[in-house]
Amino acid sequence: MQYLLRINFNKASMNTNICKLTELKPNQSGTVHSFLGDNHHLHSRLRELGFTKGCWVTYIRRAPLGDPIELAIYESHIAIRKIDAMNILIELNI
Amino acid sequence: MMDSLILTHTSNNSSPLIALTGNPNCGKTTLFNQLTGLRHKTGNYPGVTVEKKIGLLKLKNQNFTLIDLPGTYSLLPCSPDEKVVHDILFDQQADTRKPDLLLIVLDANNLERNLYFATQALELNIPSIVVLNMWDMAHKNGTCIDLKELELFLGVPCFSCDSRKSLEVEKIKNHIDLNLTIKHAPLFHSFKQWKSNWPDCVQKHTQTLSTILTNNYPNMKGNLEGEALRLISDSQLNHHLFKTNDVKIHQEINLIRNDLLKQNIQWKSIEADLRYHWIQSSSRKFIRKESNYQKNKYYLFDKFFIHPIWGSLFFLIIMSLIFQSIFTWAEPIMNLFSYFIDHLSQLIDSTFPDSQLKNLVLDGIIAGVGNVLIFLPQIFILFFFIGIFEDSGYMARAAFVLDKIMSKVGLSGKSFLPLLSSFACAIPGILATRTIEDRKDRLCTILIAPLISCSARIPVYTLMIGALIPSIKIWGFFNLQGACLLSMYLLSITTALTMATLFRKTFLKGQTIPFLFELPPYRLPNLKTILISSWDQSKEFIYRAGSIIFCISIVLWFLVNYPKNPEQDHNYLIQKNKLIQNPSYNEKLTALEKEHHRYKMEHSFAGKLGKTIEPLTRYLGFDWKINIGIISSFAAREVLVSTLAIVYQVNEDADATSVDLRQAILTEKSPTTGKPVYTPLVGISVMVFFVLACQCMSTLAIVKKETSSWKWPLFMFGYMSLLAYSGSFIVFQLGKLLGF
Repeated sequence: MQYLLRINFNKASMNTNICKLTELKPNQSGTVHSFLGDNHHLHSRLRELGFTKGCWVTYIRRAPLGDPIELAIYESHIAIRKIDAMNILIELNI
Repeated sequence: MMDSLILTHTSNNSSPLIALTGNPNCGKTTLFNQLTGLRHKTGNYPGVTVEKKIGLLKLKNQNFTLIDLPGTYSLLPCSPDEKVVHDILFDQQADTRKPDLLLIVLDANNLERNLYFATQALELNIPSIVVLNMWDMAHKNGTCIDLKELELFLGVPCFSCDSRKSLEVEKIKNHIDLNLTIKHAPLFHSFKQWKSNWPDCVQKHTQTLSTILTNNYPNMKGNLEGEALRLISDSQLNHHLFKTNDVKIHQEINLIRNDLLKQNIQWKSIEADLRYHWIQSSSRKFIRKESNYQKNKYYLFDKFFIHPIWGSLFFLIIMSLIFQSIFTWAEPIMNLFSYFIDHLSQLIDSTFPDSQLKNLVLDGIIAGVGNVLIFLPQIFILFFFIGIFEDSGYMARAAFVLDKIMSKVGLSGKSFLPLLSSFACAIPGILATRTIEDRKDRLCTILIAPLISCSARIPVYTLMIGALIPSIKIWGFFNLQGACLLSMYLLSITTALTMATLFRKTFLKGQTIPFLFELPPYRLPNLKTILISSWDQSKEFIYRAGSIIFCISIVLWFLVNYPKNPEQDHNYLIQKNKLIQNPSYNEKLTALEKEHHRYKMEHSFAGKLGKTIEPLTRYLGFDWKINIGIISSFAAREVLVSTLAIVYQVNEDADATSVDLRQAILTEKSPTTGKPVYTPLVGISVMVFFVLACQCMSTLAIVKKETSSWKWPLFMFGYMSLLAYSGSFIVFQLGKLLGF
């Protein structure tokens, strides 16, 4: 399972439009592409909060000490640790 | 259906049950407080630490029971809070029946996200009313919601509301009062439309699954196709149907999932994908962004509050304010309480004749009640501040800023405030952990909170340092006494953090819920709600922890005052009467009284216990007299000072700075060796013991209450006693080896 996901990610990263959420710059937006890893608990919570494919997400800022980060989705702002946010793939619609 | 439900319940002699439900941060609790006023009570759901709030809604025609369900993002439970909501709405919760009416509260500022849970809840076909809360805020921000269109979409009555304004809450009350029996068909038309957009195979599978559900669970009401969709996406198997042994359903679901995978459809995200897509495409009909719409209008303050310099500065000021308030502002009120309690004691003392009952009332019961009441101002003040922070949205920012630091020891930013409050007192600190959603995080914070050096330890430090540590300068400017006090605080902090790391790496490994939290928009806090909730929490503390503290107080009183020694009492009375006849023997009389007290204490159960454990505590440098102090200080740490005062026959009102007591400690000689009992090393050993030991029955009582079991307070007492013993042992033995 893990292996398969990694292959998918490699394929995805070849496409320059897709990056990890943590690679966005402050105030940069993109749409949710997919999740990495096997933390299904986290994934289902993210989906409930609106992280479904194609939904717009904005990276707002990092906390002063670098972690966690603040995201905006729909009208809400969510704090999430980098280690978790790394597993969210974002599509940049340039 | 509604009519029959109400009938069955009225025949059971209970009023219809209305459940308030919605996302976290949607203003549900404010609405609950507005609807019930002070006619509500809080408790826990059985077996879990999820707060249960039940109130009474009095209307002209009828009375209702109102229950405030925990905030929920989805009907599929992700946390213990959400599991309670799931179980209640599916009629699986033992102590709460299925509600007769749902009051679904939505944040009008964030309608799409809130509609995710709302549409799920509406599919249960429970009669519902939708309340669009924070309407004014949304309106000011340029979000315009067409209520008529929304009603058409949801199929139930929708109300705009600002839960802080009682006039708008009246509107909802009237509706409930007059129109309860009107039947609605929630989502009836829109659901059909939505379903027609599902991929064909999904339509087919949900159809099959819902037929099985209808046949196997005739009691399951509601939209079973929606339910089927939810079951298919439930990768965590949290739905209550997965807890049953219904093999047929499990097999069917697995078949469906495999089939969907073959067709390249992600079954895990199927519900979220379809539902959010549906909400987004429908929302165009009822949400309109006006030209003055500003996306992050209510987040502008973040520039300041999360700023590396200004934000940190503000945070420091706020924290010192809280600290100050628990430490010093609560003091006058606490003194006032002691003043009243003292006067009451004196009044009882002077009006009733001497008897065992009077002693019990004075030293057991009133002292016990005093032990409970003394915490009240601190708890109220702390909860008042917490209320302001939660309500204004600042709390989440503080957690956001501090998370990195706390994550080093396996905790989260939300543990900071409870731990900081514990420097004043572990009781409010432990109560403050209610703001931590993750159960393991919370338990870990509770378990280490009593290690943080609380203010009740200060008298002990003052006495020991003042009497035994010489006031000399080291390296010219460090006062040894100050350095000693500082090292006690450092010991307490490092031990607490080490234990946190240890717990988080062993039996509290991992997280129960994903670490994600919302940063809600800034709002002006509502004073009324905050006062009500602070009062609720304080009241609960008095009722529930109070009862345990009260009982232990009486037990301790018994240990210190029994068994009685009639012969000694008799001798004492004879000698006393002799002295009373001669007024010039006043001094001798007090000496006699002190000696009598000392004798009683030595021969009490506590005294005997102190002597019994002396062989054990000898390695820590404690003799039986210190042991008595340690046993009796289980009531509260500062009791050590007054107990030692009794044991050493100095003035009973001695406080930690009393010269007499210090002198008595310094001159105390061991009866066997003739050497002083107290050396600086013993002083340090006693202090280390007090830093690490759980010498506080109130803390244990509150932990019992918060975790709803005796397991954790006993564990806490055990591990801290072990730490204290080994800590003092190492200090004393090492010190002796080094020649101190």
